Amino acid sequence: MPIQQQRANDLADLGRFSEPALLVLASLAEGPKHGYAMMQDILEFHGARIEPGTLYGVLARLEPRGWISALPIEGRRRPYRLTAAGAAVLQAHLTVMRRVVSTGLNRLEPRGSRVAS
Amino acid sequence: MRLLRLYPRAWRARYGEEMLALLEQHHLSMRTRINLLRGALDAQLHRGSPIMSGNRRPSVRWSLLVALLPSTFVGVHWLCQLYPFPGDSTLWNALVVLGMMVAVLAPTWAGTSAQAMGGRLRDSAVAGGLVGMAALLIAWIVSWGLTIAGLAGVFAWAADLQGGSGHIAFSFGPYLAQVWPEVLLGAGEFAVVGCLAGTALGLAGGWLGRGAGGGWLRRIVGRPGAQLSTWSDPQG
Repeated sequence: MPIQQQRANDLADLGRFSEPALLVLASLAEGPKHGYAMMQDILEFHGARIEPGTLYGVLARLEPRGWISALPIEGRRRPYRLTAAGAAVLQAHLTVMRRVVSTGLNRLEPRGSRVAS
Repeated sequence: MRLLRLYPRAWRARYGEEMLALLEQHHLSMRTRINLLRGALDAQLHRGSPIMSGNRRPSVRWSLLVALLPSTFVGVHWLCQLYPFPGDSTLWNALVVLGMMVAVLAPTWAGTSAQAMGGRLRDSAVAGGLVGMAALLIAWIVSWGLTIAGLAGVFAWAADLQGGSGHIAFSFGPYLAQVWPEVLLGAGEFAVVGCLAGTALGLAGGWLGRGAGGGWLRRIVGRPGAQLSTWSDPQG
């Protein structure tokens, strides 16, 4: 199995947390953020409202895997940053997704033309 | 925030303060409360678990839990035999069927877990055999515990009928002295049957976990890894 595909599968191994994990990784790709900032950012770029229970379920899975790391606490809020391993997993997953999107759109296009004609 | 108390202590020590800070900024809707409840359940279920930590070794706690489930159902079935319920026994029959299903699944799961740890088929067979034997032995112990508890209850009831005059006396010592060969023999039979059936099921589980059709099982029980949890509960 290609390494890229394997890394993408690593994210899928998180089960029902895989989609929110992807959103968290994508949010942290911009720079370190604390929990509330991640929720706001995800709401903005995706439209999904991640609830606190889900967010911390994701963080508790990503951190031990070394995909994100906690920075020193600021007041009562702790920022997290994306690690190199996390960036590699995100990159692999997005590459696979891009291939799926591109293939799906390409295959839909002729069908759409047929329907239109 | 009371809901946070439902999370494991180690979790609260690690994430509690920042979660509180976040919740102070977040509207606490019913959806959020349900989500926190679900999160607490998830954290409790996966306390120190390989799913959380990325260290995919099946934990002893989970193995014992799986082994205990069929035992509980067998115990309930035994209790039903001691005190037959009049009328509809559909519920009890359903419980027995459910127990049998779980009893079959436990060694299969153990076999698949052994594969997920990177073991050979032989390891799956051993894991299945051990879990199968443990499950039936625990069931046997539970059954005898219920029998003795049932006898104690019956004799206490009979003594009450006699007005507590103590005409009916029962001593467990002579009773146990009489039945212990049967108890040991029964335990041996259960152990052998559990071990043989568990070995076969463990092999089947190992084959499922290794083959192409075992991808979904492999996903459930995980794969071997090397990272340690950062929030595992020191008090277990």
